[in-house]
Amino acid sequence: MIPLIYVLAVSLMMFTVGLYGILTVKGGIRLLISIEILVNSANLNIVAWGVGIADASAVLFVLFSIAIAAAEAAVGFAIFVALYRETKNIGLKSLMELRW
Amino acid sequence: MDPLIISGILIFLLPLIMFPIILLLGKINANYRKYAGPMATSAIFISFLLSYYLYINGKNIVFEGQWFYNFTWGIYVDPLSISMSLMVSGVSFLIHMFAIGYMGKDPNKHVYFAETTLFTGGMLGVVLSSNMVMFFLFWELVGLCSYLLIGFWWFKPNAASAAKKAFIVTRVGDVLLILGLAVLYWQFIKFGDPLSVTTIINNAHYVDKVQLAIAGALILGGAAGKSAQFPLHVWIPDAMEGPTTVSALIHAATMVTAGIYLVARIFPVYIFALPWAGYLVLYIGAFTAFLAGTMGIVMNDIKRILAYSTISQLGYMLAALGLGIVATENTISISIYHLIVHAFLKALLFLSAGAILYSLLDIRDIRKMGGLWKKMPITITAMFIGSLTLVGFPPTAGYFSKDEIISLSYFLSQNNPGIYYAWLLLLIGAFLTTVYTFRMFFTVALGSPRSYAAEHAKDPPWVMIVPLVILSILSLIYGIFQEDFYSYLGEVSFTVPIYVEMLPFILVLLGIYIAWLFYGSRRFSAESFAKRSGILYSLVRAKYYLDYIYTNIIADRVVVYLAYAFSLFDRYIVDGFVNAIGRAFNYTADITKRLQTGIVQNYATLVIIGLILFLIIGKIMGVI
Amino acid sequence: MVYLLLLLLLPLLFSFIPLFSGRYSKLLSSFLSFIVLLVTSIFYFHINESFKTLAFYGVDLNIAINYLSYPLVLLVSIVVFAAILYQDPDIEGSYFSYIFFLEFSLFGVFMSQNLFLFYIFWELVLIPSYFMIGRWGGPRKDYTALKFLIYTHVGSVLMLVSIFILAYNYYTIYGNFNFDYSSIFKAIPSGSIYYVVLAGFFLAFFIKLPTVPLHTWAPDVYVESPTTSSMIFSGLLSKMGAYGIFAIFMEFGDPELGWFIVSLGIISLIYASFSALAQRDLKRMVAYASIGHMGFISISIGVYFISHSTLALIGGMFMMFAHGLIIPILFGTVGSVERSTGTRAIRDLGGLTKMMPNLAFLMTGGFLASLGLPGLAGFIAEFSVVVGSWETITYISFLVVFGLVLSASYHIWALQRTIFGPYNNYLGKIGDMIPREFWPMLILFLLVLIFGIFPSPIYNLFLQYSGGVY
Repeated sequence: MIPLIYVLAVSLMMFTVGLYGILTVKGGIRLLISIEILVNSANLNIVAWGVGIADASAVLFVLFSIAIAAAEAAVGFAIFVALYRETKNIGLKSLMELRW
Repeated sequence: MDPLIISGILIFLLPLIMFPIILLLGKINANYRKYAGPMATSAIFISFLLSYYLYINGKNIVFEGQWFYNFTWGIYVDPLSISMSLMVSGVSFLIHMFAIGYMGKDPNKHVYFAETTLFTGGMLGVVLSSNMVMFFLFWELVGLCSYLLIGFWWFKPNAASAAKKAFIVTRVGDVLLILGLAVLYWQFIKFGDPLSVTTIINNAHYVDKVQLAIAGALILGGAAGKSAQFPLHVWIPDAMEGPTTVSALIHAATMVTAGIYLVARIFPVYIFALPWAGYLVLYIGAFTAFLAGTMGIVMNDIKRILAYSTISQLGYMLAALGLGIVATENTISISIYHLIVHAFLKALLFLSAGAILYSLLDIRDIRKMGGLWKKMPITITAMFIGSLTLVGFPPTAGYFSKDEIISLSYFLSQNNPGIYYAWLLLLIGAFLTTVYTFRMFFTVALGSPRSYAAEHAKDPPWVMIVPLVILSILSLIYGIFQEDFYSYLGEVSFTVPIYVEMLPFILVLLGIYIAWLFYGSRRFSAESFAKRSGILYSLVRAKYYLDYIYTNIIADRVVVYLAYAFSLFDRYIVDGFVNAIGRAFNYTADITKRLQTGIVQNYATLVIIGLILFLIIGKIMGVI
Repeated sequence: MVYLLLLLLLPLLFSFIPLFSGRYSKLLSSFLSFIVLLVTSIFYFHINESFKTLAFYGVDLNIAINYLSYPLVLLVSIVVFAAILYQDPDIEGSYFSYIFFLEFSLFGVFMSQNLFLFYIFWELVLIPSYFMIGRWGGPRKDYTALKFLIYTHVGSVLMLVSIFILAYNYYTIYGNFNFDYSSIFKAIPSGSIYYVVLAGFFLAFFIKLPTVPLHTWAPDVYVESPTTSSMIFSGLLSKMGAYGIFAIFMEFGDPELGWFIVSLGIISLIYASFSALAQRDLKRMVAYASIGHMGFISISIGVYFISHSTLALIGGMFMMFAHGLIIPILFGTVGSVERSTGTRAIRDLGGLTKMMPNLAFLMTGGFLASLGLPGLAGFIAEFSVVVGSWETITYISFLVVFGLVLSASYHIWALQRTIFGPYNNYLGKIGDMIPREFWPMLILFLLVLIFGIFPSPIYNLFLQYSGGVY
């Protein structure tokens, strides 16, 4: 059996990659991908802990989380598609109407 | 209730009630306006009859009812107030009758008569009030009527301005009067019903002399404002912009005497005060009598001459009271007797002046008149009688009233050397009175007409003649009631050497002779005499620069510039400070809002930084 | 008595009706405000009723009408009635809703017997006022509405702090929370915290009064509002501050504070009078006149703190009532001048008597009442304050009467330049006051006259409130 700490390390790496992606990418689709990575790192973390402390309810939470992530991705894509139709541009730097 | 009390209340209530009635009638239908004059006149005649009823049936009626707090309202009837009430309603009746003719052509005569009726009601209220608060209410009501009536021809800029001046100058006196009442209130509160006339009169000798003197001085300020005594005399000459009947009624016969009445009403306050209060009363009166006399000589406007004469005569009345206070004598009867005689003669003079203006189309400059004795004999004869009475020529009533005051001042100065200068001032005042009166009379009556209007003057209709005749008769014969009047109001007896008694009469003859030389026979030229007197003439001509100081320096400079200073301070400093606080918040927000870039990733970065900081701080503090 | 609750809620109920009544809203609102006036008048015979329910941690619905609050409740109904009758032409249904809501809040302020409730109503007043200025105001309405809201709110939140300190102090002493007037003031703290509590109430009340130098919201609000609102704001909002002073602030009396407040009052009077003298805008002049009168309330309460002079105190209380009746007349007539001539600048007017005799009558009456002419209600108040304070402040009274002379000067000066003198022919042919302007002003003026000659019905209430002894 793989030690818990290895799985957590992978989760941490995924989290860091996802966070880095969120803070730096320029396009909307990449942002969504980064968020997916972030959510999945959290899922992995929860499952790993679930195995580590032998609690099956962790799996249940992760299933919910995956479903929510899917829904969220769908909504996100829908927003970006709609934005693209409007502005032909989904660069994050150009979306700055919501300031002061 | 006692019919005497009811009639006492009705005396002033009836004219007051007529005010809205006359005003509304004229407002409803312009045709009813011609009834305004007769209605007002008859209402006041009823007041006169009621006063007479009180005179016959009662002395010393006091009625008081709760008003508010510990102030009462009510009527205080004693010989002093009855004699005033008879004089006010009687003279007012005659002047109203005259006004029916004089104001007959004015489109707004219902307003005029409503206001004069209101005034008469107020004045009767002043003399009959039993409480100083109620007294002050009516006191201000007559001041208001004076304001409204001076500005009756409101479209004339001079009239509007004169009304304003009259109101503000008397207001200065009135606030002093309020303070005087405040002093009295706290001194008399231990006797209950503190501002009632009864309380004040009966308990004055129990009260601290210093406080009484302060109260007396403050109240004298109010009296000086209303009765146009130095230094608050400046408003009356300007007030002549109103209709002449108003000048006769308010600014000669009745309202301006309210100040004298006030001092007489609370006489015990002065009697039991420190002596300086009495000297203040005496010398303000005597000095005003002298000062106004000098100014009367140089005026050319007939109504202004009479106005200064009024101020001067009011000075005599105040001085008479002051004499009594200084010497602890009851001189009220002498003062009030002169007050009543003066009301008759000054109403007569003003009404005859009004009759002259009526036929001369409002030319008021005496230099444009002349030779009127031939043109309007009845009017000028009435004026002649008035002039003789004013100067105190025997056997007119003026001789019995004014010379009495001068003799009294001499008599009292035997024991009080401080009064001696008052006697001198009053004596010179009598001489000046003669000079300005006969200067006016000779210029108006003799010579030849000096304007087109004067050539075509004629006597007015009978409704204006009748009051003139009645007042002339009163002025001539009222002297025979002197003894009766004194015994009714309080006896004063004194004797002076015959040469002192004759002195005023000699001065009168001298004055008439000088006036004759300058203005009757024109042997000497008044103009060249004026030129030779140089600076003295210009000083008097400029009214001692008092008007200039009050109007041009205090009102137009000091107060207005202060007002602008306050206003600018308000706008730029006080409000500026408030706005500066608001702006400070605005600027801070302008800087801090730059954090709000609108870019999602910046927000995310900030969230991460915040989270990390939170964790670090938590670790350091040992919370996590 | 539960009817008291009904009286309180009646205007709240009525505030919904004009929203749904379309073009009848003006007529209906006049009628409704008259009903409120009638109901209020009936309560003259039921003073000293109280109603208490819904106890919840010391915060209960505790309302009452006492000898101090009844005249103010009556004043609110009278002024609201007159103001609604006056009806500026450019206002519509929802405006009346705001007015009724304001009336409800003011009733609440004057009737609540509980500091918490008092605070809620106190703040509730701001909401309709803000919209009445911000939606229907003059050219600078946005600035003014915001200034008003923030300025008065700053004072109120500090008062909230004071209330909580008081309540906490009460809790530490007695072990429970109680905000009722009858109990909370037993817990006035001592030491430095006393001054914190004092400052909170002081700012709230003296900003609302308003007193110099915390007054600058007032001229802007009075001037920028439409006439109806000016009447209500000047007549009633300042009474909240005055009521707070007499009902709540009076618990804090100490002589040194008294001297401070007397000085503030005298400064207010003279400062406002001088400022009024310099104004070119008639409405702004009236606004400063209103501020000047409020100086008398400061003087009265200050003198009471120093020497417990009942006469001065009642004078100040009567000033609230008299001023509430007088100032709306001034704003109403100035509003008529503006509607008729299209200007408020004093120098552009003159000789209005020629074209507007009714206006001349009412304006002269209102101005004379405002300068304190005897026979009109303002005199009773000013006289009581001046006479009542002589014994305490003696020669300082000369400053007070100097303020009175100044006040007479600017009133008379304004009269002379607007309605007397030669008619300014550039104004052309203008009409007099129209009936909807004339009658409410006449009613107010007659009330001023009646209470000036027979002050006892109201004066005695205040007398009973302050102990009933001379």
